[in-house]
Amino acid sequence: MLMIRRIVGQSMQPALPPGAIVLGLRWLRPRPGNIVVARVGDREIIKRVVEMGERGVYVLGDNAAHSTDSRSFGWLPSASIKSVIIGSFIR
Amino acid sequence: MNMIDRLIKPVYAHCDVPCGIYETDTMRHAADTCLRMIEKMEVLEGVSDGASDAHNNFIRMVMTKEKHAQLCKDQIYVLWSDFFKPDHLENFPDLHERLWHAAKQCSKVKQTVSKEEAQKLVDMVHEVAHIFEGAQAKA
Repeated sequence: MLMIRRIVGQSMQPALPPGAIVLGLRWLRPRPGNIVVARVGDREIIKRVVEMGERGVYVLGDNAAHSTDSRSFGWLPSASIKSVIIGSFIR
Repeated sequence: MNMIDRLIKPVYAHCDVPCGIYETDTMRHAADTCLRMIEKMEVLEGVSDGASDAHNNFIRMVMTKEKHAQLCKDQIYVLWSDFFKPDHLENFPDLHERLWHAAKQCSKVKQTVSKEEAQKLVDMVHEVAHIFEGAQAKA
């Protein structure tokens, strides 16, 4: 199933600047290097998968200076990954 | 916010889980860019003659202005919702009003090709940055 979202924030620059539209697939299994949408609390966030293991998924923003990611909130449960990004449209 | 932005749900790539990293350079640069685009539009020759290159450049300048006005607004919203806390209101009681007016001014800059409106945004953004620096100094 497709997921379309609009980027808010700078943590995925330069790959995904604010305002970019991303297209995700819900049923794909994420792999290291993939950009994923994950649910953290009541919000969806977008980050890049660095590592996957028994503890879950470790994600980082490409723009490390402006990103809150697994360095802050730790490993995400695998179930929190909602989609894998397969394309983007930068406006 | 345009139709696309209204229709497509956001996904957050900023520090929505508070990381404490905030800055105003992006916001100021965006406001300065809007002003610069208007200055360039005003001296662009050939638009009224129907020259394709001039039209192309004019549209690029409008798009850049639109994009940076939105970026500026996004940056203001981030400071408003994530950085500023209720206790900042004690030192800056007109904080909400200033941020609200600055965000609305971003829309005004999108709607117009007016150096005066763009300069107003630059000034407002500098005021917000000044408040931000003051709040950081007291933190």
